[in-house]
Amino acid sequence: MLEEYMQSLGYKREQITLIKSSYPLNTYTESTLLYLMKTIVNYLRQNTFDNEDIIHITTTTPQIISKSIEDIKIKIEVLLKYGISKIDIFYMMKQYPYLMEMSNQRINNRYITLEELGFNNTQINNIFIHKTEVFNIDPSSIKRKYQYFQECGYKDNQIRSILESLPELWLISRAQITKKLEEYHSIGLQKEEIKKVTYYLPELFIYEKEDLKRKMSYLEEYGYSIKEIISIIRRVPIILKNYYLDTIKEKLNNLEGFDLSKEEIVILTTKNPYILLYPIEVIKENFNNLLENGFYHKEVIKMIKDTPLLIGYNKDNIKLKLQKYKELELQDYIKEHSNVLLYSYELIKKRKKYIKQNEWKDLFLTDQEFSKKYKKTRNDIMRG
Amino acid sequence: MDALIRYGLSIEEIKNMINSNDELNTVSDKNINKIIEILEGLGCSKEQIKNIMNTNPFLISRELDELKKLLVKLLDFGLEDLQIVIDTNPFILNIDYKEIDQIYKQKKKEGLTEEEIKDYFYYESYKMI
Repeated sequence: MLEEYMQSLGYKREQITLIKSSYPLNTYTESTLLYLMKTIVNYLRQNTFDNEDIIHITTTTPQIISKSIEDIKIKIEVLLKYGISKIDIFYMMKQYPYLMEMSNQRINNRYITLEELGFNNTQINNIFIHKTEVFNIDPSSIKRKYQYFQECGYKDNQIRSILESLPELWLISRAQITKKLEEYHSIGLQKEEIKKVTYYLPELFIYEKEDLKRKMSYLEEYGYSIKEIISIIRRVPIILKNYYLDTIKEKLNNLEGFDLSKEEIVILTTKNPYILLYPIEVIKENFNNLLENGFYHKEVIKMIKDTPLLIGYNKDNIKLKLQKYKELELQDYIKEHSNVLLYSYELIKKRKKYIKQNEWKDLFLTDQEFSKKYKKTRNDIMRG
Repeated sequence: MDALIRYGLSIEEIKNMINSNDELNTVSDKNINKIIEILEGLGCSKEQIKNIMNTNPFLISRELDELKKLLVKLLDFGLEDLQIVIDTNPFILNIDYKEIDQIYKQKKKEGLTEEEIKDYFYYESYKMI
């Protein structure tokens, strides 16, 4: 009867044998075991578990079959009290069936340990939901893992973020993590850069170093060299967040819409990687800003290539300068020296009174050049 | 984000800033106000600060201690009108202070005088991203 029932659920012969021979189930009569099996199966089924889940849970921890439903409900109440939803609790049970075997004291102690390290309740729940095995790590090991990251130079908020985002790290040895950090050092990243990069993409701790390349594979296929990719990551590590990686393809395609070749886009975005983070609307606005102020498309392309920072620069600021420089008939000068559009208008405004008409280009001289020609230092100009 | 609205940035500007730097969703108004305070302390006008934040929304989620170290380093180079440097290239505020130090030393190695290095920071800092 028991075997027929279990086979009807999908248990294999060896799984049935495993359960029947486990303690304390091996002390029960067949009818008692059948009753207990049906009780636990019905309860789990009522709570969204399917047969595959039930087999996984009961073969991983057969002792659960001997638990009363009341006991299981009490365990669930403990976790609900910490703010974990019932759905997540059942997910945790599927992921880590031993959860139901844990004492409430152990669960409470782990919460306390993580709170002492500064994790808030949401962070702790996220850790336990995604890696329930962490409940099984003793408090001193939890603290040692945290200290290890402190010794590596990570700040507390970074450590908490990393360990919450990738709870697997709690289970990985310090030696393995150290090895990973050394691997990234070997591909050219310095210590501070590795910290930044792993903060934004903690998965790098478990990726093979080739995985970093694969993560950026779209950029490689597009035409970026590994050196250029590392250079981008080094300066703008936030780009490793999936939020940005998911949209890189679209952004590069949009940049091609400005009649830029792939090679030109690679050069532009390597000089100014922030371009890959701006929403395309901002890029279009800046581009149109220049077109609307009297520059032809080809001229705008040249200006952007000469001064990549123009993309993403505050458009109102650029607009103001374009209008002012237009009044001084400096359009042609700007085409060849687009970097002057970045110069602080405060300085330009103050220099203007010292310069004769038709010599407006002198607005953009360096301090040394200006001082030589007009006998006025920066101090004279700024405080005059 | 209230801090940015109170400072005069439009909803559209703030939206673009968040789309560029999604970390802004978790930055407190207290942090934003501290950054504004630091920039005002350097002599930045309201318009300059709005320019800086609009162009470089990544500044707002920068660690304050790291930002201060960078600014102290730049001031050490004798850059009296730091607001001009920052207004020209807001992204300079994202650079690590050690890297700035390396740039300075590299320029010295290339034979530039102190005045030429200052000019580099004032007029060519856009090359530093």
